[in-house]
Amino acid sequence: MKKTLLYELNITRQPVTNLRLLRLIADPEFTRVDFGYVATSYFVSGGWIRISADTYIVLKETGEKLKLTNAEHIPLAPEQHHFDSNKDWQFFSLYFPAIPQKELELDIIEVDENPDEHDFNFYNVYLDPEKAIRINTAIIS
Amino acid sequence: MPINKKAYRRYRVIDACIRNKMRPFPTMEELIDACREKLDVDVSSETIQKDIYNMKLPYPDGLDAPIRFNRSKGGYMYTDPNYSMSGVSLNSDDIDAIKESLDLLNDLGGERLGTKFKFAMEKVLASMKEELPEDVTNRKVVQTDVPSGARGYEHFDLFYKATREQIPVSFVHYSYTKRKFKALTIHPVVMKEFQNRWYVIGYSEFHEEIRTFGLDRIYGPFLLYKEFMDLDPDHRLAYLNDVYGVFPLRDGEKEKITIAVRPIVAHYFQAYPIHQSQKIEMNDYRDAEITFELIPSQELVQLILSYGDQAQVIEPERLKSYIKRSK
Repeated sequence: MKKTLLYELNITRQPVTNLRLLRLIADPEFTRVDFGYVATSYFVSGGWIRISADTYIVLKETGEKLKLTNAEHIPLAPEQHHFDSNKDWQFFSLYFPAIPQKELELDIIEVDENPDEHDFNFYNVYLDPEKAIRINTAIIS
Repeated sequence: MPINKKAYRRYRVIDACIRNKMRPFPTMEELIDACREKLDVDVSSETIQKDIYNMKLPYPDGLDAPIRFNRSKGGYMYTDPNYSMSGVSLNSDDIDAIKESLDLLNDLGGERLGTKFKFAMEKVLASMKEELPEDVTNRKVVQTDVPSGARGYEHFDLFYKATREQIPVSFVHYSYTKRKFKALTIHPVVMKEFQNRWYVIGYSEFHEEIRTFGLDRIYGPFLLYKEFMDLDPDHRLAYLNDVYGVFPLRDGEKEKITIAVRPIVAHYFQAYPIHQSQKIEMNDYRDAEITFELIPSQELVQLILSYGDQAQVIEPERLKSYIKRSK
């Protein structure tokens, strides 16, 4: 039986903490990862965000790479979403191919060569099957 | 067996023809012509015969319609002249009342609620061969200050369903004050509207207590397959009935709150009491002391502050110092 699992992760990027990996949704047909970005006073009007089309998930156990398939509420580079002020925020989701629904560790990589602290990279994200919650998709539809 | 939509529309036409007192006892040809005219489709006599057969079937398979072919008149009739396809007989006053309620709901409830109930009411009226006149539903005679396009309102239906059917929800919350995102799960117990903003109140697993979340700060809600954690009824009632507004102060408990107000402020409280426990005592100088039995809340603090030096907290001390810090 097909099921969609949800993991509430709440992992803050380090050391620049204005990006948060919030949830991962493992559907039999896709993987959705939700993020929250908070604009900072580093730029007067909040600066901008975008995501590289080369972003991927790598499964630590097998080394398999799953490339970004879609992005919601964040443009693909070189397009940019410009904030109106440095008090703005943005919730966005990235989509990848399906991952196995089992205990997993993965990295989410936007930039793999010489990444800096502002890139949207998360390492060693652990998906604990005991903390997975099943989404009630039947009711949603 | 469910009735399909196309057939149901034909049933409505057949029903209208049979009930038409101006042209009683419609023939098969007249029923076919009526369907062609009203529905803009060609139907055969076999289809109409089948429709009549299905309409005569008892509930729930059919409509229990007492249709009979009257040989002497050469047409169809209802053996029970009071028969109604909806099973509910509505007179013209009832129909007017439904239309007026719908208009009022549209005006008061905002576009989304209005639309949702409009569909349901249209079904009821359709069975009585009544339509909602567009010019009436679009003419707004009661104005509220609910702005259209408020953020988060698109989640209203999902949370309404979750609250009604006790389904836990995972969502992402953005705190305006902390400027921080958090993914969390709540077990919603009530949806509350306060000062034109919608909130969902429920047990938050992350906070391990009952919490309030504004729909405008919620992203990506999902209904979950998870056991629902209901609240202790007393706790739930206290949270819902003993708070003015939606955000009680941390560790707040129901207590006696007394404020001293100038006469003009007292008039506002007299005209619009904020809680059922409110009592007003005018003193010799026509100033007033107002008491409440409430859990102090952010909204109560804001209300008191909004009157400036015309309203002052007498007790409790904790609320007094909270207001002093908030100035």
